[in-house]
Amino acid sequence: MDNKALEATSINYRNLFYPPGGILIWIVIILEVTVFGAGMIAFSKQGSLTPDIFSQSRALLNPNIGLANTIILLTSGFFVARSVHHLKEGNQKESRMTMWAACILGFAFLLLKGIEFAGKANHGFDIAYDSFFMYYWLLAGFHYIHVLIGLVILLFMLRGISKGSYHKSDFLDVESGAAFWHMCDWIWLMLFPLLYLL
Amino acid sequence: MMNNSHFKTWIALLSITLFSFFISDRSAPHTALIFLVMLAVIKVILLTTQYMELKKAHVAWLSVVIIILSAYGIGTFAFNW
Repeated sequence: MDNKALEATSINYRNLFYPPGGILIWIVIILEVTVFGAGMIAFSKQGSLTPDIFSQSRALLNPNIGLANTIILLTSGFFVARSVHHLKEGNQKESRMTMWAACILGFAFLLLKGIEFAGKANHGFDIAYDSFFMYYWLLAGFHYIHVLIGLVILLFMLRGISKGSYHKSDFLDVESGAAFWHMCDWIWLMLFPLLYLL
Repeated sequence: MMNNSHFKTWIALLSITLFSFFISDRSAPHTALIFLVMLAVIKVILLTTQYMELKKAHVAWLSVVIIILSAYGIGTFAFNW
């Protein structure tokens, strides 16, 4: 058994330096969420300074699309969690199938969000339109990039699971990748009410 | 065998999302704000403890999550009230 496999089978998540997915990804997650959180607070502050602009521009967004994307991302996260669970249990086939489902839903999110972005751009609601849309494009745009990167990571994990590179005794990379994907979900759960529902 | 914890978490997250959606324009603005922020915080805690498995991790990690969520909640309340 190589070092990585030994590590996977003996990991103690209660150790401060060994959270699920590994400490490096959690440092990345905390930093990312902090930056996005600061952006969201700045967004709220701007909204308090220009409430009419925010109210009018927020009304130009379609909350049904936001809701659909939230459901898609939450369900994708469910399948990622199941995939990791199956991998740890040694259920390679189930792990692969659930990871496939997660990837398909991740792609669906990007597609729907892309359609929304295109619609806004075509109607002239670009980053320079007003302060609301400046924040919309920055926050939702950077989130989109993170989801895109996350999807690439999921696809790499899917490939590894399919080839048997990742398995019951070697799942740490999959756990890390899954944590990154859940981070995308986390950011969206904070962003969705601010952009669409308030 | 389906892991009940994951499935229950998914159902809870979807339910809370749908509830948030429907109360957002059916409530007075301040009431909606309180609900939306609280429900977003609850969803993130569910996500981090169940899907990201922080329930198994050292308590410091969940503490950091709660600090971040507190800042988000306080900031959102402060500027949207």
